[in-house]
Amino acid sequence: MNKRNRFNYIALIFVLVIIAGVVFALVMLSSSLRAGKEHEDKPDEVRLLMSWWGNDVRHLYTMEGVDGYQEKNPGIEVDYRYGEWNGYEKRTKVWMESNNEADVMQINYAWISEYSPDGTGFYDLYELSDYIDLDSFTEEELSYGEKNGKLNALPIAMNTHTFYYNQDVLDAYGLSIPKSWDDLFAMAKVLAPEGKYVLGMAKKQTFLFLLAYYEQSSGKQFFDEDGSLAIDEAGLTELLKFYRSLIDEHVLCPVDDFDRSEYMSGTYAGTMCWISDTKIYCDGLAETGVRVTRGMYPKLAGATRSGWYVKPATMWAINADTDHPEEAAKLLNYLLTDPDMVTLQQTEKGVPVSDAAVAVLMEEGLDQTNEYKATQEMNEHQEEFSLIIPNMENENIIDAFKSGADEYLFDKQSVEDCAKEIRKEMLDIITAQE
Amino acid sequence: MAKRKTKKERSGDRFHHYQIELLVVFVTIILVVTAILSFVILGLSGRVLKRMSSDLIAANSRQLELNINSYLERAETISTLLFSDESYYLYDATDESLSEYDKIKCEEKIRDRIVDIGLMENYSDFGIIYSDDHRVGWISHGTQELFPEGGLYAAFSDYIVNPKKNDGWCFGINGSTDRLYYVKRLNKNAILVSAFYTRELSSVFIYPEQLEEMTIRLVNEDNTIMFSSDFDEIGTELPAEIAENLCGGNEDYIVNANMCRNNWQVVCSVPTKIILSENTKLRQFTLWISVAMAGVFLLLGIFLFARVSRPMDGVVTSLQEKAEIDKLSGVMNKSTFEEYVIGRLADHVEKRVHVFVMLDVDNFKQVNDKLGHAHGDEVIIREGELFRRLYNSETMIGRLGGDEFALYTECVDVERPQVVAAAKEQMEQVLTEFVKEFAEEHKTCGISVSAGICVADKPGIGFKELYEQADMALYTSKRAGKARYTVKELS
Repeated sequence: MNKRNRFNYIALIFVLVIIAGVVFALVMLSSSLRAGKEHEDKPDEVRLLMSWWGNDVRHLYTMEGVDGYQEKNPGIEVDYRYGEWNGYEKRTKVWMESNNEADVMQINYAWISEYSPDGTGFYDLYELSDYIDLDSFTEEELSYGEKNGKLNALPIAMNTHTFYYNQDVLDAYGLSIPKSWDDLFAMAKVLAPEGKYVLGMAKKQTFLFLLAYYEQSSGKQFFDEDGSLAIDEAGLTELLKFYRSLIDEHVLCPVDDFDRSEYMSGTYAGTMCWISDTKIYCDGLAETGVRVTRGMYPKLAGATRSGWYVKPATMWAINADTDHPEEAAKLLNYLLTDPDMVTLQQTEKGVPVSDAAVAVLMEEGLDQTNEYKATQEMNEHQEEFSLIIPNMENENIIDAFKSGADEYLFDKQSVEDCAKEIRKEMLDIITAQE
Repeated sequence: MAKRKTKKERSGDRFHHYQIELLVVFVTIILVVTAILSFVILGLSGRVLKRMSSDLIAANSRQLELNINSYLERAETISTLLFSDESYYLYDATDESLSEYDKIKCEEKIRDRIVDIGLMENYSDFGIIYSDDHRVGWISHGTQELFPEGGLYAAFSDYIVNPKKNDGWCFGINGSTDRLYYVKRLNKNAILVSAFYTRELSSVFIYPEQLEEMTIRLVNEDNTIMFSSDFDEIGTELPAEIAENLCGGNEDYIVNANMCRNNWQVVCSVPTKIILSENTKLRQFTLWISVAMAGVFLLLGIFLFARVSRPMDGVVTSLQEKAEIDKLSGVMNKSTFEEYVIGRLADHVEKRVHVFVMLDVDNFKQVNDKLGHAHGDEVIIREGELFRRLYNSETMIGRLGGDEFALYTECVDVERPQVVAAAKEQMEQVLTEFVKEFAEEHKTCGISVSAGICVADKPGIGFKELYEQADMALYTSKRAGKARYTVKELS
């Protein structure tokens, strides 16, 4: 290679190196500009509002779950409203009537009828099937959330009441799990002298406990399928008398005296609660070393009705007027099926109905839980359970019964007058619904 | 024979060298200006950025202080709504004179009131605890679990530290760090307890996106963190490096603290390196744009070098040739020839033999007289061409004036007699070719060529001596009858 060629060769390499350097610098520059642009082009944030009711445990894991959703869905911020069940129905009424409800909301099964009688009160989730894994639900499960052909809500779990007994208390007094109403009274004879009750339960459970007795003993329904009041004054009178006898004979602790901590301490031998509340009533007791045994549904010999009802535990729905249906649907799907959320939630709301959620929990030993066993029993005796009638959970109706019953329990009125007054108040509430 | 760079070549190299130097200086200036921009001006902007960020954090911190004050005040105000009716705040569940029925009805009323006033807030707890630990309203299971042996009333009563308003705030009760409690006395046996999860304060401590790396904390008088945008910190002590630099921060952190209600403080901190990271990015941006610019200018320079310097090179070469080359004969002029030969002689080369030839056309005047000066010039031109054709490129050829030419070459590692023989042989060829070339002029004007050859291996010999010796040899040839050559040897 002569000198001239060598010079040209070196010059060419030199030029190529410079071009490579310029290209590299431009690439670095463009990446730097792109980084800045990405920052500037950050898409507008979507803000969703979500609401639920529950206890401490539910509040904390739901908030943690929402954090997880936000991490998985950058650009979506979720604010939330939550509170205790007591008063929550009133809250919901305020939001729904003032068109101020959350984008994604936990609702009670009864609220579909109340707030969406024609199916337009909540967003039709069938329209959002691209974002929600509806295949995870059976047709029957979907039907619980359907109204007028529209899917208003998706059930989280199926729920019914179950009984749990403090086995240590039973053992201490030589008692066994009661199978009938008579067994309950028999147990009360043993426990009453000790200042204990057979059962302690909250206001709604007390009402449904009495309702079960009424339907077993009368063979009639308390409410008709359409929610109208079926029980007559005579029936109510007898039921109030039975209620009083439950309290007087220490079968049932008065509602106002019921305190969950007393259940923990053994003042009540047992309780009746939603399957979804199993953790609250069982885990706390089990942690103290007490054995907990699931009880049986008290039956009246010869009864033609069981009086026990099943319902979707709680449901998730989307605001009919949400500005962000797609994002809301993603959030709803996350709450029902995302493995992280399912793991956080466990069976706090009962055994999930979503196949995807069940698959996740099965790997974590779902089949060993009390909730699972109770749910299995419910499924195995489906013929004994009817689908709950929304008014059975209507807080105003329950308050009317409780308040009216107090008048009789504390001898302020005769049982007949109380029955008459309770029935009138219930009818007023039901009429107002129409 | 040794190959040497000609003056022309050396001159061209120097020109190229100057061009490259210019290019390098040009690029260097760009890089230096860039460096100044990047490291001096951006350094200055870093300080400005830090100061402005500090101001922004201070303003933000002040806003957050107002937010938390407003939030706490609202919680207190809502609680005062229980004083709207005596039946709410004067009711005493421990009063044994009240019947159970009356108690139930009173508590129902209070419960309804609690629902009404707490309806829209995210309370974890909102209820009344009586001196026998009886509770009405929302006293959460989580709160009850903090007191497995009872004693809620006594414990919360201890936190009523404001004697004027009979209230107080508390955090960390029995190790609980997930909520913040507000306690207010309703009567001698009843206290209102309301609480919200500390993470609720996320909605209070909203800060601008520009400060997304900022950590915001709410700390109590013991420097315990009650809320932090980094949830993991809640319940821990404020880090010492922050706590010790609450006014402004240090080299590692920009810190700002604002006192709010209850002697609590809102403490905002941002690692300095985060603030300056934007500046670093800017510095990198400037660096890359400078490198790209320098590269582009360099390429542009090379392009211009290629497009402009070549013609320029031709012009320079042309000018140089005009200065060095005899216009008529196409060989070197006298001064250039002399300069080049002197340069060659100055080289230290062992064992070399110099050959210096003087050539003169005999009877050249006759050509001018008979055929005209133009033809004379033509003879000179053709003579130059003849010599260039007969001698190789290593032989310097110069026209010393008129019809007088000189040749110089040198032989290395060859003995002088051999050089003399070669010189003679070459000269015989010159004489023969000359006659052939100028046969017409020879016939018309009788021209021929005479030469004087000086062959010298004398060390340190100079141009003048070679020239004089060759000239003397030429003179000898002329005197001997022209059309011949004479060799003069020097050792």
